[in-house]
Amino acid sequence: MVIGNMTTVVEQAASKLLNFNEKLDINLLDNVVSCMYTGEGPQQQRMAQEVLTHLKEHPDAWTRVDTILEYSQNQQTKYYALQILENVIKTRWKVLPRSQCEGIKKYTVGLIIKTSQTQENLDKEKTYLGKLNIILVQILKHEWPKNWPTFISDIVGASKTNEALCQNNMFILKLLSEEVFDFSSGQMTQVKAKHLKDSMCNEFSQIFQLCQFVMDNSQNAPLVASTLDTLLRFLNWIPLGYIFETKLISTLIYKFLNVPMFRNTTMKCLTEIAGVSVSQYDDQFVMLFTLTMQQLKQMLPLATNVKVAYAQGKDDEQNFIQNLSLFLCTFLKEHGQLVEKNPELHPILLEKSKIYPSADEKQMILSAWPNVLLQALHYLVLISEVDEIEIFKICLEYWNTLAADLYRESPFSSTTSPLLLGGQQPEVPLRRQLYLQVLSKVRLVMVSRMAKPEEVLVVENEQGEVVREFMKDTDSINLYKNMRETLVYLTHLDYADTERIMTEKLHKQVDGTEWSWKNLNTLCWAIGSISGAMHEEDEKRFLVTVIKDLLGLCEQKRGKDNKAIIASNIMYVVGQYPRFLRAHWKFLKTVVNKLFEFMHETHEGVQDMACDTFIKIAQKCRRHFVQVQVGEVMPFIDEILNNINTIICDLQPQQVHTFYEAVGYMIGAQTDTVVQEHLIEKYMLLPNQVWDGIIQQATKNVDILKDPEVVKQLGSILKTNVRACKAVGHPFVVQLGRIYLDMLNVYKCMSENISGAIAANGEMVTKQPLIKSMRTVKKETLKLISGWVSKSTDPTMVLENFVPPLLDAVLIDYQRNVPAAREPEVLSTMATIVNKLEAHITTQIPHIFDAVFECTLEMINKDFEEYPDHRTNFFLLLQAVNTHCFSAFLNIPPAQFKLVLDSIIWAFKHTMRNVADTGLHIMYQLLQNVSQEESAAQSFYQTYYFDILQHIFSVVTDTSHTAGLTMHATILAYMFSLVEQGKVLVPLKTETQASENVTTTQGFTANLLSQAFPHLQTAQIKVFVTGLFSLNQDIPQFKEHLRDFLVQIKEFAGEDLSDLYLEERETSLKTAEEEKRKVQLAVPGIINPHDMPEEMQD
Amino acid sequence: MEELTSALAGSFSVSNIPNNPAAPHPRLAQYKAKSHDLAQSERRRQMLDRQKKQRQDQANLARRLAENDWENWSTEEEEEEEIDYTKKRPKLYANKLMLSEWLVDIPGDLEEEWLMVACPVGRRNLVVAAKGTTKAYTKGGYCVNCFPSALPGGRKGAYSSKEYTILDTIFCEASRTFYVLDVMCWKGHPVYDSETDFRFYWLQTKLQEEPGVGEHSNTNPFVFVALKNTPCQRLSIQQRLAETFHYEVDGLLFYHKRTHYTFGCSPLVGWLKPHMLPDILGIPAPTITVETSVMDTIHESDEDSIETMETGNTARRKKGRRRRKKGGSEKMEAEVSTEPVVDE
Repeated sequence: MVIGNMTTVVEQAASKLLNFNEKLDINLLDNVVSCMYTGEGPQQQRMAQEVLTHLKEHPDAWTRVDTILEYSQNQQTKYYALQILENVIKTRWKVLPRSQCEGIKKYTVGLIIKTSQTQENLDKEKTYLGKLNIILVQILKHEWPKNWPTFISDIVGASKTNEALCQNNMFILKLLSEEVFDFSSGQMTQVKAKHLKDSMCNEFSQIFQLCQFVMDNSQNAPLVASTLDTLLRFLNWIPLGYIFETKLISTLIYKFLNVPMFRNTTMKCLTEIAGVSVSQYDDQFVMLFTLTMQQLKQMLPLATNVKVAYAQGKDDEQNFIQNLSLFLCTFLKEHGQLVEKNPELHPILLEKSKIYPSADEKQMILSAWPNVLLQALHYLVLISEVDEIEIFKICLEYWNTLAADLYRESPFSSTTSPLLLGGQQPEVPLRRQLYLQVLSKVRLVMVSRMAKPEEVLVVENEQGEVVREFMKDTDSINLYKNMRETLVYLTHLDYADTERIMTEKLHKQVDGTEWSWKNLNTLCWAIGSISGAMHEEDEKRFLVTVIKDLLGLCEQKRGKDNKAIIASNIMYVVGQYPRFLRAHWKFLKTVVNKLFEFMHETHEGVQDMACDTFIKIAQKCRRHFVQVQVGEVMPFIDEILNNINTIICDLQPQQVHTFYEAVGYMIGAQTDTVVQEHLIEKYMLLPNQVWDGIIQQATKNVDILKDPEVVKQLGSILKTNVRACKAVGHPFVVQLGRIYLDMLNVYKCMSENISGAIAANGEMVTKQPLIKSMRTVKKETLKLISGWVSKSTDPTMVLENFVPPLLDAVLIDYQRNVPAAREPEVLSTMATIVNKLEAHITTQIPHIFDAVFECTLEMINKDFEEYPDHRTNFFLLLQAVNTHCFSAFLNIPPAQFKLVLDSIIWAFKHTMRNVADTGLHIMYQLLQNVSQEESAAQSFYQTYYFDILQHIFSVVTDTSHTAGLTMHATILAYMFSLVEQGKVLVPLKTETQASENVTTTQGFTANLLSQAFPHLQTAQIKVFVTGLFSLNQDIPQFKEHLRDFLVQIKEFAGEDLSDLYLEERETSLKTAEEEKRKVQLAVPGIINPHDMPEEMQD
Repeated sequence: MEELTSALAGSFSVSNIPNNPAAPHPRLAQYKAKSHDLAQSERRRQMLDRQKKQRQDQANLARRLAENDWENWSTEEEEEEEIDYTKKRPKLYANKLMLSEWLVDIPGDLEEEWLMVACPVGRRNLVVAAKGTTKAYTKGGYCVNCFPSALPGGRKGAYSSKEYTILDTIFCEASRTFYVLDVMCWKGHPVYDSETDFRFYWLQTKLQEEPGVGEHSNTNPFVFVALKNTPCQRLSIQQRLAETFHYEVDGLLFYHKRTHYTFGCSPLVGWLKPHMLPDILGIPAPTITVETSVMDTIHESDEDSIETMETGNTARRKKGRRRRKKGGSEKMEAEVSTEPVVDE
């Protein structure tokens, strides 16, 4: 078929389908639908899609639904019809004639009943029925309870007639529960949600009886499953009496827990119950736990190897293990203390309790004791060994809580410390005794599966170099943190046991029984994780053994790969124990010398390991390297600097930079300024030699700065400086001062080269390696300067000596350059400087703005995407200036100020989250700053108040900005209270009085909203505007108020507003207003004397 | 603690290199390593024997290095372990340099059979000039730089693809110079299997004959300078070390005249720091003189960095250097043209 032909066919189809005067051609519609799903080629599908969308959006489309559902032969067409129906119910229900609503309701109910008559049908029409159920629930949200008060009894009654129907009804009840209790926020107004919740609770007894009836009597497994599933959704909100004062718990445990088909849902129900945190049902909780454990032992014998069982289990069985872990952890965390005590202690509770069916059972509970808690813990230990990280995390959370709890209760170790021998030993607390054995097993689990403490990612940077990046905040690192914390608590509780476990595990590495790279790594991460948890002397003794064993292992193993793994584990362990290193200088020095030796090792990864360990040790032991140690003739830093060339001669550039940073930390620790300056000088000798050589040559012939090799060298030297400065901090001023002016000249030169190249060859040229390296030089220069400024300690010195040349060189260049050659880092550097120097730099702000403001704005005001880095940094600069140098804004010409304000508004209209957030924060801060300036404030309000209000409302009502709602609420609340508290002294609108500002603002807002949302009723808007004033002292409430409004603008309200509960809303707003007034009255002077109630005025 | 420290300092290593120059000299070290190795002198003898017996196919390897062609390549010299080639690409340029051991056992034939080279401070690089470009690799096989050079095969257009050059060098960044220790291949002609005597002779003559390698230029941004070698008679060593050097001396390499160019640490190449001469060879510690121009750079920078900006004094850089610099900067500004830097 020819495409052109096809187009006309589709066009004809469209016009025919959209003509509502004609009878619907069902076959044609079926054809279009199947064309969309199975049409030939994307173009046909797209055209069909377009027709269907058109039809769906037509306001009368819903009138065709019944015909389609009745006559269509195509399941997909029917589903499409249901979408139309759902749409109309969601948005236009209120504007439909009542008779139509009734019609749709009856039709839907009828259809559901018809479709859910047999079990067979339930399975066959699952999707179709599912959609129908959803539609019914959407209708209910409008109709129940007001227009359909008997819904609950209707559905319960109908359920008793037919099991299949009942099963589907359970599904509807589940959906309703979810809609009302779980997903109501942002979907209905607060009052409405509350109303529905109350209705559901009030009528719950009928539903509960139905559930109970099914559970007690039905032999229909799918029905029971569906009932349990529905019950599960109810458990988090139903009144507690239904759970604890009925037979529900024992029914769940006895009847369903051991049936494979039901056990997972049942376990989830029990977990939900176990999570209830109340104290009046203690005996029921004990019963719940004991009976569950009894059943569990039958299902999963205590001797089961859960790890193996899980690995070989089917999905359903694996889920059971996960659900069991959740149950145990939830129960023990919430009510563990209850079962720590012997139930003999609760005999009265037992007697009183009417819920035990028999005396036998009571006996059983008593005889099961005291093992029941220990058995539960035993299960949990077994489950902790399962090779599934999500399950492990569940267990870990509990072990962490338990260990922390036991430690806080009595922060002493159960181990006898040699230091305390002879002294008074604190008794091991009774509670802890209960857990001693389990804790030892938990220690073993932690040690055996300790997570990786750091993650290194190998990435390519913008210069195309492969670099290593340390990841923060990954899943695995968080797991490590939690495991580490747990193991530290466990070690505090009994450090000798931790030591024993680790030593034994290490021996198994040495004797080969557990030897593997993975096991060794895991063990060493564990050993490294408890640094500081033991007494110093114990730690020393332990470490000496560990390191000795590891050294022995290294010597024993053959092959560089093996040796490299062991070596890096030794260095990891050593690096984790800075306290030990600081206490043993000779050892520390030997470690560092060994690391230097490893820096020449060519085996894969060893050099990286050496550099990483070196910087770690340098940071933790920095002072020890600049002091003269016992038995030494000079501080070790001097030895390092004397040999620096030899030490780094085999390292890659990245590693050299790390090395420099490490040495920088040591130099930073030298407190004697004169000595420190000499160190820095020697430290930077090599890079400075290269630098001076290049500068000298450039002086003779500037073209050398276009030589790729030279540019690369400059980039590398600057990188070294950046890393060094990061570590040394403010004292790096000596070095920075030395190269500063030359560096700025090089910067200008690079920039002009780039700019020239772009002018001549277009932006494509920026992809060339040479241009990339030149940009690196520029970026690194800026990074060095902002890095140093942020660490500087003398603002005046920075301002007088460093800022002027910087502004001259960098700003002018930025302004003059073509946009593609402007570095976004210029803006962030300026922001850093402003943030650091604060008010000191206020006088320079106009200068900075002249250079960067308009030209950057030009780059970013065309759309919301281009130049994302410039965008982000531009607004960060604006924020910095607004925060620290606000008075500069008052001194710029009005036109420029308007530009500033416009750009702030522009910022918060972005959909880039960070930019919009910055924009909102600047706006709020700006309003606060303005209010501090008496004279400027009034003209500001007069000119911009309504403008700002309007723009804020435009983002509030834009769904793509919902993330900023809290800030929107904060700003609006602030602005309304400004007016309300009479801070605005000028009339906001011509021809009005300042005293009328509140009314003017209300009028303006109401007008604005009714124009933007013509489908809203005046009464709705009135209540909303009132709330904006009554709630402006309570941000969370104010935000909910906005949220309610957002729900309302989504649907057409129609004449009948009862569903919106406007009156109730008005009452609650009035209460809020009174509360607010009361609070204000309590503060003397806060209320204008003219507004005070009479009785207080005598 | 003492025992632990000495265990760590001693035999703890990854590569197990006897007399590793990255560790302290065994005769001068504070902590002695337990050594199961044969004496250095014995290993020297064995190595020379082995060399006589088997002639490695080094020509083939030179071609691979030059053309980066590793088809059907197997690393027989990795005797210790098996590398899983499927997991990661091995570093093919790693371990392709002949490295030294500390000179521990003084060879009886030192004076007749050995040559000494005074090494500059810098980074050891394998330089491969081939297919129109020159690459420098660390001894770990990491490519640190890629540039044109006047070496045969080292820049575009000038040579045929068969003309490649492989050198063992020390790179000195400040002077932008590659000091050449040894030559493994010149103009496509491998000399791995030649003895030191010959390679050194070849290096001196060939590098001298090649125009442009000794001068900085656009097509040769780094210069190549052959290092001088000296016979190891006591007097010659002393005379050599009394000369004025153009570079800072890091240490002394001792090459056996009969050794071929082999990979990795070799007992037939020895390493000493100048201050070790009295202890090891009984030669008085030399006073090494470095040419003033080299010292100037160091000295000058010393002076400069003492000046700080902390004084806030605008006239802080009063010395001649500042004037020159200032002038230089102006010149730089003036001369920066807008013409494109990138030529196609």
